[in-house]
Amino acid sequence: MSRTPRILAWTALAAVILLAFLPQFADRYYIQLFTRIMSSAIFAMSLGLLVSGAGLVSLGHAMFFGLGAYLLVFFSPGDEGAAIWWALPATMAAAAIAALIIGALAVRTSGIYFIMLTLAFGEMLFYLFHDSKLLGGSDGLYVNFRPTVAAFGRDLLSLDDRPTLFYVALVLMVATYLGIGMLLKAPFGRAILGIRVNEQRMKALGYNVYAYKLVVFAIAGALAALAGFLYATQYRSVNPVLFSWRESGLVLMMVILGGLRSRLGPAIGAFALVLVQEALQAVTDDWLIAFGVFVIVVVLLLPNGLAELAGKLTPDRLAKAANDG
Amino acid sequence: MADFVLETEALSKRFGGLVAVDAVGLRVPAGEVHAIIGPNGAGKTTLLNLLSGDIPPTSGRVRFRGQDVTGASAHKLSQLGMGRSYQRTNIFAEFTVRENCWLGAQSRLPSSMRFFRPAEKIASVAKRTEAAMALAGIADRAGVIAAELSHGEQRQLELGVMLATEPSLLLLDEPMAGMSADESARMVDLLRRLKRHHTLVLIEHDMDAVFAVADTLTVMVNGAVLASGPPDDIRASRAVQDAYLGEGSTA
Repeated sequence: MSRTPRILAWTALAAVILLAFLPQFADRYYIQLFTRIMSSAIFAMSLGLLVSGAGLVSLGHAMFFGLGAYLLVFFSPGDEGAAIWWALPATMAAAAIAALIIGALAVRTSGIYFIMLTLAFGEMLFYLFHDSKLLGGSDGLYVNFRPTVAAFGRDLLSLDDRPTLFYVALVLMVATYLGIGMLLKAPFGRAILGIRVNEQRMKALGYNVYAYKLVVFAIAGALAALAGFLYATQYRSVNPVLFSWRESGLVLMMVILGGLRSRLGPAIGAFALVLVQEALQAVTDDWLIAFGVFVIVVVLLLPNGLAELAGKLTPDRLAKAANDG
Repeated sequence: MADFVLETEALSKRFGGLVAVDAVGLRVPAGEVHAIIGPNGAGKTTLLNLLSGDIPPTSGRVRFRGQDVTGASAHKLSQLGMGRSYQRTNIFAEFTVRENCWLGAQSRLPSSMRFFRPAEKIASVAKRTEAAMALAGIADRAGVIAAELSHGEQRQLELGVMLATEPSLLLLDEPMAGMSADESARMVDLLRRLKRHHTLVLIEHDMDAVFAVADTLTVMVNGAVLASGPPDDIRASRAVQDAYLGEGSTA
């Protein structure tokens, strides 16, 4: 099923620990950048669950990210922040329900037809939010106050504080990773992985393939909404572009760049994509061309994504390569 | 009636003008190995598809363990204890042998909509998985990826996945297809072992294997049953020899 090489797991753990110290030495800009990357990583992991888990390649996954972001606006009273304890679960539940409705039609199909249907639903939502004055129109909406984290009438955390929001994002990212891991190890995960590998055989064994696909679609939708909620909390503004197919394409690119065969792949892809973009933008105005070259090189040299790098760099593999050479 | 695990009455399947299965009556008692033989195009696989519920019959009845299951879906029959293997190996190529059998065993849970506890902690499924691997003779290959198995081992795994669903009746479509002599001999041993606790209906072209394991032979020609009985009677039958065994058979 999904086997994470030990070296990759240790590298990831080291990276998370390093990340935890980032607010101690990095300036505002980087704290914000990495907070955004972590919401992208959650978004990418949610799509990874669909793509590598159940074999459902969606080109409309941004619709749930967008819904999550907009729902925070709708759940926020105008004059104060929404209480996160109910606003976040309500956002994820609403996105899951939307995903159940959309998925009820979409997961009946597979392959290219599933791609087309998810694309169509995503574009429908884009135009709905773009053209409706009530939903903010093309300018979008603002979150006047960030959500509050309080208990017994006292504020526990202030999400206006950048390092605090950074740590909240870090915790949510790690929790998402562990949660997906738990899901994949449970009977549910075994079932959806079986569906990805041989759907027809699963049917013959008596599994209700449609129900499992629908539920995984809803879970992925809820996790994407979590990422969108985090994004809207950070930037305090949402606009219809969040729904666009370009966003869906970008997150799919993160998943593929990171690697479809590793559970860490989507998160690695999110960090790599944004950081490489940042680096290239600093060097050249024509950074998109250079970025294209980067994507081509990764896909050609590492068909299983960046996560494969770690597998290639294990000591015994290196020794073997040296001997072969 | 419940003496027979499987019973059919005038079972027929028509595809347009073609009568693929013509009024077949079978009676398979518990613990029997019942082999269906016949030339290509005799309707053997179609008959198996009717028995397993993969396609509905045009007319006639099927009874499974005394219960009328005519027209029941493959899924329902699988839940009732019918296991079916196919001529073409149909397994989970990327998964290990154990993971393959696991999916067979887990399919017997009332639902796999369980999200929290690791699957391997479910003792009943783990037990069925290990038992199925042992029975199919592939327990020593448990950690190997299915795609890396030899053809014969893949056929054994196919049986293993099915056995993990704990069927009482096995419907096997050419279990020895494409096997070497060695692999065939192993499969014959395996079928003999299965016979102790299962009822088997199988289609097979390998006559040595058929005579080695079958208690009853049914010969089909043009969709209809030409003869049915103990192997020795069938071997001696003139009609069968003319119709089938005669052509190039040393039997």
